[in-house]
Amino acid sequence: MIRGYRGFLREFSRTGSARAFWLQVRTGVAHIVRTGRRPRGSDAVALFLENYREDGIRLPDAARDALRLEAQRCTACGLCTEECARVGGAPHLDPMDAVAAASRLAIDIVRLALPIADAAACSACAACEAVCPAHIPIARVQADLGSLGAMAQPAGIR
Amino acid sequence: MRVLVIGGGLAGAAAALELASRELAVTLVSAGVGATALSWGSLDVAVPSPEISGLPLRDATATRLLSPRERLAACLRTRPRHPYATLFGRSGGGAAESAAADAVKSAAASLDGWLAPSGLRVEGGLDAARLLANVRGAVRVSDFAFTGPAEGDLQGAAEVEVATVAGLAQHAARPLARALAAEFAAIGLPRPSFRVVPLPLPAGFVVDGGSPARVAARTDTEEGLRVLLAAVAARHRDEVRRVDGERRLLLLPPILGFSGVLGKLARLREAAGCRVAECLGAPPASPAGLRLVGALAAALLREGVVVERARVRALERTGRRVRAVRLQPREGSSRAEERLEAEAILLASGRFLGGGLAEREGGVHETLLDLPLYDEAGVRVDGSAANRLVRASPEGPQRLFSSGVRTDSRLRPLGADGEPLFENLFAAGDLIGGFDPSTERTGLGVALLTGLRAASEIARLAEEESG
Repeated sequence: MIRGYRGFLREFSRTGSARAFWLQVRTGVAHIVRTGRRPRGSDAVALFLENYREDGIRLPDAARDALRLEAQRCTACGLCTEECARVGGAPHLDPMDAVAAASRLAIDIVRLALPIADAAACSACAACEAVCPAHIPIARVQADLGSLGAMAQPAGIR
Repeated sequence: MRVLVIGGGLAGAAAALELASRELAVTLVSAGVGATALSWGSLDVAVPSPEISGLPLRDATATRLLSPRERLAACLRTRPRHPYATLFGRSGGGAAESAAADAVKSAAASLDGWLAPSGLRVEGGLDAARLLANVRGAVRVSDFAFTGPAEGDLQGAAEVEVATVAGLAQHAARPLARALAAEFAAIGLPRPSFRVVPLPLPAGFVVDGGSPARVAARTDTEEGLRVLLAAVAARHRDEVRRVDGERRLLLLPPILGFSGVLGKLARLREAAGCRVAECLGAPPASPAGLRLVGALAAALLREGVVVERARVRALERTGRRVRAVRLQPREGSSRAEERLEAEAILLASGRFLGGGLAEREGGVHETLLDLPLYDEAGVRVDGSAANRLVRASPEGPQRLFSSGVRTDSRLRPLGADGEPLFENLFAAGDLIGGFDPSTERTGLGVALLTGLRAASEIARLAEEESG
């Protein structure tokens, strides 16, 4: 609990992100409320998923695991970002961020909130994929991150 | 005869372009461009680094750099397992050397012909090396270079003005100028004077945290380029010149956009009243690799090469011949796996970055046919874990980085018995082992030469089989 709180403070002081704040409120406060108001089931995993379905939390599946492994081939060369700028991608879109995010998908879910907003701006033209020397399916990575958007952008907070 | 080229990097593209010019039906299957996109902007054919080649950079009189021709000859003499030794034979009597020199000259001319319509030229020659600055402040002995950095030969410049662009990331002019001066002291050639000149660019020209890619994209618009031209002209109007324009070099960060560099440089030269060039640099500090990739893609389109954007899943074989490739079904496509037949196949799938080699089940393997792999000493390495092929020391060679397939003189991959595995399978580019592109930095040179040679071997096979 205390460790999580420190982590939040560090994140908040680094980014000042309202989204990170909101996620922290959800995981810190809402967790108690939610788990308290429902009867205890025998299957803890099923209960957890039930409680957090509206936040977009799912169990890691084989497809996402495979995608994460592909993302780990990223050498951070930055070509996708250059190509995105060249073909006129959204102003602050950085495909490399998305790839980096995907490769740490299982590690740090709060930090994920930061690049996910980009995924929504991605037009999935896949120009970045064409130049990726490591052949990472970046458009798929973006789409996958975008599917987590419900968690990243709770109603009313931008 | 139908030919399939697997791999969209320089080796595959050059081979496909050459085959198309010989009027063979060629299909290029490309999942991506591999290491070609990471080009720094120079095309080096001979090993430049003294640590690798054991050669001094300068000749015995210490007044000039060794020429590319001399370094190429030394490579043939000292590196029996280098792909060049396979291409041109071992040195002796000068036949291999002159064959290599001729091949390099004609390869550079071919590539220049393909890239020139996109405003990218291949400049340089075998008789004199260029001394080019990179964004990190090292000087690079370079044989050929692409428009942009190519104009920045530091030899013959009396005064080098290192331009600073306020707020631009991954470019620090002051340390760069200091490092370049120190490099000259180390090489021992007459040193130009280095000066840092700030370019008076308006606020808002550099945006988005100084991303070099964004700035480069700006100079691709006429409006953005005009801003840069005005800044260069303003800076140079107010100066009293001690050195005439031909001996003065304005060294810009690599921000001259993704296309049309030739025209931009001409206008910048006029504005500055002196020579203008970009630093060498890899992404994300430089768009040089993407320029090359873009110009190659344009050439493939122009020459009518069919490009399949797909990944090869498997190769079909019958006895000692390869018959067809099966492509991975595309994302969201309901069609079954696609199959392409061919009478000759060229593997130019690269190494780890391109996907030609990969580590699976605890060992390094060639991904499509599990071809035997050898390191530079000729020791077989496929099946060994990658971490057993690297040493913890940053000094000296790493076996993993020089490993690849071995070929006969017609560039057909060899089996463990030293005989070609297939009659109609060829290899080109980094997939061929025996050299380390990461330290030698001659990957593009090897890719170009082996790609073109493989194309002519395939054309020869087509003739043999038709006649």
